[in-house]
Amino acid sequence: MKNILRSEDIWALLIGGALILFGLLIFFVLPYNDIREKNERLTADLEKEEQHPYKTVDWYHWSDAAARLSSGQTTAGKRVREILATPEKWQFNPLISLYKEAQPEADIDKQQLSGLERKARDLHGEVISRGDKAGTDVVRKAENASSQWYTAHEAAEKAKKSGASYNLFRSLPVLALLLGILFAVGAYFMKTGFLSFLKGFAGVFSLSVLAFILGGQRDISSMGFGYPLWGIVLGMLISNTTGTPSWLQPAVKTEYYIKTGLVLLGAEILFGKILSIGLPGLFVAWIVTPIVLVVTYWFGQKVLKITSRSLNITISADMSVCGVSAAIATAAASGASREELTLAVGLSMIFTSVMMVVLPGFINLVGMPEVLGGAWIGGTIDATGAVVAAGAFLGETALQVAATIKMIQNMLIGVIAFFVAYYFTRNSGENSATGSRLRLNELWLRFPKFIIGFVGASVLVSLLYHMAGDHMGEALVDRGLIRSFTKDLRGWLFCLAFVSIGLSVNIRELRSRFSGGKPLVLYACGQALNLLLTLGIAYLMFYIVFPEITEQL
Amino acid sequence: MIKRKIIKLGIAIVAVALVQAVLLFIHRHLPGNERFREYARKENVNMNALFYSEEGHTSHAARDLRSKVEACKAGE
Repeated sequence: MKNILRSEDIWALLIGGALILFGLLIFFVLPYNDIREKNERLTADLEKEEQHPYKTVDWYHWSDAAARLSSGQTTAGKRVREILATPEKWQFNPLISLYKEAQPEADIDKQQLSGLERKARDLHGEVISRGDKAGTDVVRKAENASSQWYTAHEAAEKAKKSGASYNLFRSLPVLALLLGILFAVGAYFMKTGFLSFLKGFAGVFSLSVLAFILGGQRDISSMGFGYPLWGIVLGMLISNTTGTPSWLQPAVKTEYYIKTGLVLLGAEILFGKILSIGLPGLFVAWIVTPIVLVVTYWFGQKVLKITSRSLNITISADMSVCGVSAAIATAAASGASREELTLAVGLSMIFTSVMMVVLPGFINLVGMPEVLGGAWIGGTIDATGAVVAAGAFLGETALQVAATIKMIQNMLIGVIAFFVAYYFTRNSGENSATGSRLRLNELWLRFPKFIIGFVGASVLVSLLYHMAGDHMGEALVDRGLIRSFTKDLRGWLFCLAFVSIGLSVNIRELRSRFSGGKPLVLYACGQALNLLLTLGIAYLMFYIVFPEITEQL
Repeated sequence: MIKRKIIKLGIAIVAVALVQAVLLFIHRHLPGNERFREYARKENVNMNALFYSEEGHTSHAARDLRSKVEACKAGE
């Protein structure tokens, strides 16, 4: 038992599992009845409004309320969200990322808005009193008035949202203390020492806040260089110049944070959400990705002869699946070193930064159809944010196709991490050298246990989502548990991990891993194959095999 | 010794800032960058999103696409 409690894997599983259960209690179990009642009421109101031949003001109201319904809006949910908040974006003043006072609302907008609403309601009253059907002049006028009001209402809501106040100087110390204590308990059992961990954690957490702030600068953020890169850079600046101070060392625990973060990431992989564009999207994401992954890995081993298999698989997964998050998962599953993960993350961010601008530009230049362009972008650009922005560059449909394909591709992370862990466990150490077969209990001992939490969390939350139904699932799981809890918490854990990586990476060691540019060649060749194969399969699926689906998009 | 370390740290910070400036310069001169930034700003895309659940548009986009396909099927 004592030995089990000394394992980082087990503590990642325990802490990650406990956090997910806490999240489920706050965002799923406790608000369930209240959200169900609200959902039923909204559905009934919407059905009533749908009897009219156009979208009325009330229809927009109820529709918006249904789309916003979330268990993150309860008192407890709001409090948790406040504590987990990450620094905001800023342009010139970095203080804005931590503190902002509420902006006064513009009165003129309010007056204009209520005028538009009154006009729309009056016209709707006229339609009802005359009993007009679709196609008449009054109906058209009422429809236009409702739509005009909604456009103005949306703009006002957006302005209200951007004018909201926040004060992270209050929430960050609370978060640091809570996370510090939680991880210090595990550190105590792992013989690091409770208080020395807490002391070091304060330093690592402060550097993480700084990494978030640097990654939130609008120009830097628009290049796709977020907190992962800044966490590594800040850590490396310290470790390779002044040296990592000894008081910080106890909390420099990369795998501890990464594995806990990955258990939380498991809760965000919802299997029920993938069938939006049916078979063509599935083929593009699920056929091309494993082929590119395996071929790139083979190319790295057999042609480039990269000596580290874990570096090879981390770069191959990073390039073929979804960039940084896939790199983190496969690096943890294959036991890659911090230098190897740093290389993979750096390569992914630099290639993404160029591809996200050049690829949509090229698609526009050659006049490629939107659906094909969107599928190509979704299947090849690494980071999710970059995919959405590059898709938006082409148009609404391209954005939808690109984002959906990326989403389907993201689902593969769990499956790939599981098989990578199994493959590396089976072929690791002396057994792979002698060629003898591993016994089952030995396989279990070497297997990274956090993968069980990662896959288990995904299965559990996907099941709950499915059982709650689409509308309730979105309100309780998607907008509640995930968007109000796991996503921010996981962001903090990954940021702590990246700072820890930087604090323990040696620049000479990193240079030696680069071994004559082989990782760069591996990434470039793999990406070239990815580009060609994705384009070919996307064309085949969307235009030859399933053209009827493409016509509907 | 401490002075040397501080100088080393200062040089490293300046070097990182210079690399960042060069990257920003290259990025700004990529063909189509201005339009790309304009669209990303208009859509309010979270460019730092690592996973689909971090980006608000992905779920909406997938839902809208599904609605389109379902509406077409219902119309057939």
